[in-house]
Amino acid sequence: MKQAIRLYTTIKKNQFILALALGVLLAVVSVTSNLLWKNITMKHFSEQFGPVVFGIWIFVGATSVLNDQLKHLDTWLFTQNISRLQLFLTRVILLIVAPILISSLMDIVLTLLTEPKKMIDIISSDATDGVQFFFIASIMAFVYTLIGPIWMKIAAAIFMLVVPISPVTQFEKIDNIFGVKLFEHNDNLQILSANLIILAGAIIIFMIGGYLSTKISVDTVDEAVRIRHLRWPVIIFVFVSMYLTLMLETRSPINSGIIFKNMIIPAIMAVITFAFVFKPTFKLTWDK
Amino acid sequence: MTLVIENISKKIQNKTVLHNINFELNEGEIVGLVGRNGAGKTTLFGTIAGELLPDFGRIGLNELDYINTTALHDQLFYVDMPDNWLKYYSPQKIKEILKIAYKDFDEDWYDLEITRFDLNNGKRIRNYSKGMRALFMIIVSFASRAPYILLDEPLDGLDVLIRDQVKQMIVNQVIEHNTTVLIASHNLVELDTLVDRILLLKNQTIDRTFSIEGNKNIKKYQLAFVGDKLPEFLRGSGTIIAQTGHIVTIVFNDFVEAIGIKLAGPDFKFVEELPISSEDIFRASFAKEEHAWQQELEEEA
Repeated sequence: MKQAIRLYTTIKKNQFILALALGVLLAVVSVTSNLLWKNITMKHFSEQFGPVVFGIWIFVGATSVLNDQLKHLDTWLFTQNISRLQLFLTRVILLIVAPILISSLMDIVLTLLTEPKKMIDIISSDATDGVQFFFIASIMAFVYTLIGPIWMKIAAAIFMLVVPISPVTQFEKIDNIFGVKLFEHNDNLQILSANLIILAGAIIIFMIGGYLSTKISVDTVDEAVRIRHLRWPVIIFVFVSMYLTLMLETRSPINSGIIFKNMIIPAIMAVITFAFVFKPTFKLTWDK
Repeated sequence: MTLVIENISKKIQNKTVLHNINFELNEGEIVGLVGRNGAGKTTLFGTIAGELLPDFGRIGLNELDYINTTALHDQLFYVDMPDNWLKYYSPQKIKEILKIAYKDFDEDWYDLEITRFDLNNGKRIRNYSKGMRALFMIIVSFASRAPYILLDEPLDGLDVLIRDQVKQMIVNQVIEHNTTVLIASHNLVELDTLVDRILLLKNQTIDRTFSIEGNKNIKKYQLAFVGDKLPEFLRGSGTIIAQTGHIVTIVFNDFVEAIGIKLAGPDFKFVEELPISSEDIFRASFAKEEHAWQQELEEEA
């Protein structure tokens, strides 16, 4: 594991330095705005500093992983004295966990220096946002591992962000739809429970992603779904997640018309996914 | 130390590319890998190196499982050609990375060779000419000091003078460090002067292993036949490489006494045995395919 981190850090040294410089620059902007225009436009900037920085860093990290595939760096790393799982974990640590922890720490230090009274609020806000970003990153890592071509990775990531992730990161919607008061945002304990559930979910998704990474061979890089056994589950997932999201967002009373109407878009999405996953060739001919 | 490739099979998109591949690479050997385009040479290299996961079989380094023992992976150097990550970096940065990847990376020798061949240390490899890139690949491969090196078309793009120097470098490195080199190449003439033996990849498997000295039953003849028509048995038992009028150059894949007797008969005015090369053996190995192809061309004409 140490070897994997050393190797990957050396390869990515320049990007890490640039990302850190960007973070420091944002910190300077945050402190300056806080001191100079405390009561004007940038009022909430300091409160958003941590999540903004780790959001940017995680996005840069995700782009960097795509770039690795483009440069065939993945291919070479598979031949090195690090396992596929170690490479996966290294990326999780360096591109997801470290950005969240470092930016939160920067945020805490800055708050301590400028507005010590807000300390608890900042820690709470960073923890909540950190857990949510960690969850989103786990889904991204899973998608990046399972999907082959780069444009499909991006498309799948956008689909996951728009369709199944957003309801999960907004637990209050579940309250509204089922009428059950599962999580109350005013109650710290409820927020903590929700975050712990999301954190546990993210860890499970990372574990599955890590396991899948050990089964990935370079020859499947052009396959939409790189694990053959998961081709049908992916199509079913697209249909079900899209359908459930549409149903959850339906405000009017549920009747058979709405049930069927909400199936149209998921069915179209499932057919499109099927076409990319199985690449069927339709033969049109009049020959007998 | 021996690298053992045992019953390796690999399917890509439901098509068998490698089937029951078996061979061994011993210390200090230079081995050639030849096969027609698309025969699976790059897939075989990728599978040995760990890029691709084999569907079946074992790759072992002595008694150890090479694929699953990642600690052994610095014992082998392979970089995919021509698309690889190296081209996005400068030799300086590559050195920094490979020093961590390969514990015995020879920094001094690397710097020396980069200077000797006048390669720009600060320039990204993708800005090099094709020949310079090929040369850099050889330098970086041997600088890794990995005991096993896989080279895919290493002499491609090199001019004659550089090619000679590179060939000399390969031989010197093998002698000095007892490195084992597996070279995939289409250039059989170059391989002849470089390798100890050649593996022929045909029908998804290693069809034969040969060395020029070791193939007593493959023979090459130049002969002049009597009459207007080429004696029929020649087509059936050999591969005609060239024909100008009554003069024929032919390679017999399996030269038996009966063929010798026929050649000594009245059908021929002149018969001379020629020295055999890897290219001749390669042609002889694909005699059937070449014959069918020639017939097709004749029919079309």
